[in-house]
Amino acid sequence: MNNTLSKKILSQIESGDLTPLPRWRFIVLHTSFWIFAIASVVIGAIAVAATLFIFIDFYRHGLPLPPPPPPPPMRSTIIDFLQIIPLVWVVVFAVFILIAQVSLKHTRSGYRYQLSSVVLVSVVASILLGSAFHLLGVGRATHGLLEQAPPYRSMVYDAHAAWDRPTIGRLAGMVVAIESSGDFSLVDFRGRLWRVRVATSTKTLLPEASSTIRMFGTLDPRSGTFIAQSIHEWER
Amino acid sequence: MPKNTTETDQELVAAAIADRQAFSHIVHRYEAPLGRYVRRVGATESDADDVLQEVFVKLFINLNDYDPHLKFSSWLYRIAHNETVSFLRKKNIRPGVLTLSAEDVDFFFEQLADETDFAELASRRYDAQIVRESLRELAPRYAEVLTLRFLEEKSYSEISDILKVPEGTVATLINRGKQALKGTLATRGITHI
Repeated sequence: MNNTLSKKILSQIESGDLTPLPRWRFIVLHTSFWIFAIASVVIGAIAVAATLFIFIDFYRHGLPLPPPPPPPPMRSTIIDFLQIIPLVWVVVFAVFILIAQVSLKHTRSGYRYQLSSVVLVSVVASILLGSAFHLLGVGRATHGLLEQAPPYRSMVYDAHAAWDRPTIGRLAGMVVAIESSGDFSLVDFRGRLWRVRVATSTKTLLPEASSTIRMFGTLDPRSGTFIAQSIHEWER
Repeated sequence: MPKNTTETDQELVAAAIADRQAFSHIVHRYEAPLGRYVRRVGATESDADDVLQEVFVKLFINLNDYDPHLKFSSWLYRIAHNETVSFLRKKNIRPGVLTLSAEDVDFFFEQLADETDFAELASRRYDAQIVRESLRELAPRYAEVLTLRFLEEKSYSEISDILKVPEGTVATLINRGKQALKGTLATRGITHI
């Protein structure tokens, strides 16, 4: 065996005063990929939690029991379901699953696993963690926080907007005054004052002052009075 | 400086981190097999030493990145593979084109003889030049796995670690590579496979 190569290499190392890079740099590098991967799965989980919250919120306020009187004030069809899919969260979920996949592939042993397995594990982890987040109220909190931003509101189902439709029989807000007849005044989520007459056939909840409610009914176009056919508590 | 040592790769790595002179033991142990490898995957005789030098310098700088869970030779082959591919690309040479000696060709088919569908081919003597040309026509992704499997005699797990792909992908590439090789050999009239 000749020593020429060995000498050349050692000479290059010595002339360049080369030393092995410190271990901590590699630890930081490899750890950062795991941090990216875990953070991506967590953000994906938040997207799942917010999506679950939006769906549950929609069905809680959109499908009253007992069924409302005709005409049906809200369609509970597959179209409704598709319309309320929060695309913004679906996109966030997809993007962060992709980032998680790329990050995991760059970990020390990430290359050993098939792409499909890595994606499946990331998706399942995000969904399980997202469900736990939902139960802990993370979805509600995230949605509530982002709801302050109009661009976000325009991208997802907005329960307030869905119940701000008096012309098609949906109205919600806070009861501010109750008359002896049982009729009452309500301030909707946009701050407008409404006079509400409780229809004689209404057998549902009778409101209390300062409570927040949602109602199915009809709008009397001449007087501007909303005639409540059914009244429900606003649960959030 | 001793030319041979009984120390394990891991011990040599630790020694080289502590004392750069000890790095020569690693060079001695691996320069021959790595030299053959970089030549096989496309480096010319004159370029091979330059590539090898860069491989070992890169190895020295990254010694602290060695993961003991990985076979040291696999990690070293990975560096050599990446460095050779990078070097060939810089020179606008298609990487992964097998450059084999007549002995390499014989050895290649001896190894392939273990694969039942190549047994007959291995038992015959074909013009090494024709076989070399057929091998050179293989797509780089097939050439590199066939080289590692049948010339470097690496296991699927080692090839997975060297090329950083899942073992299942290694198996698929080897099978497809063999089929592709059959195809290129057939175009040259070698069909007794």
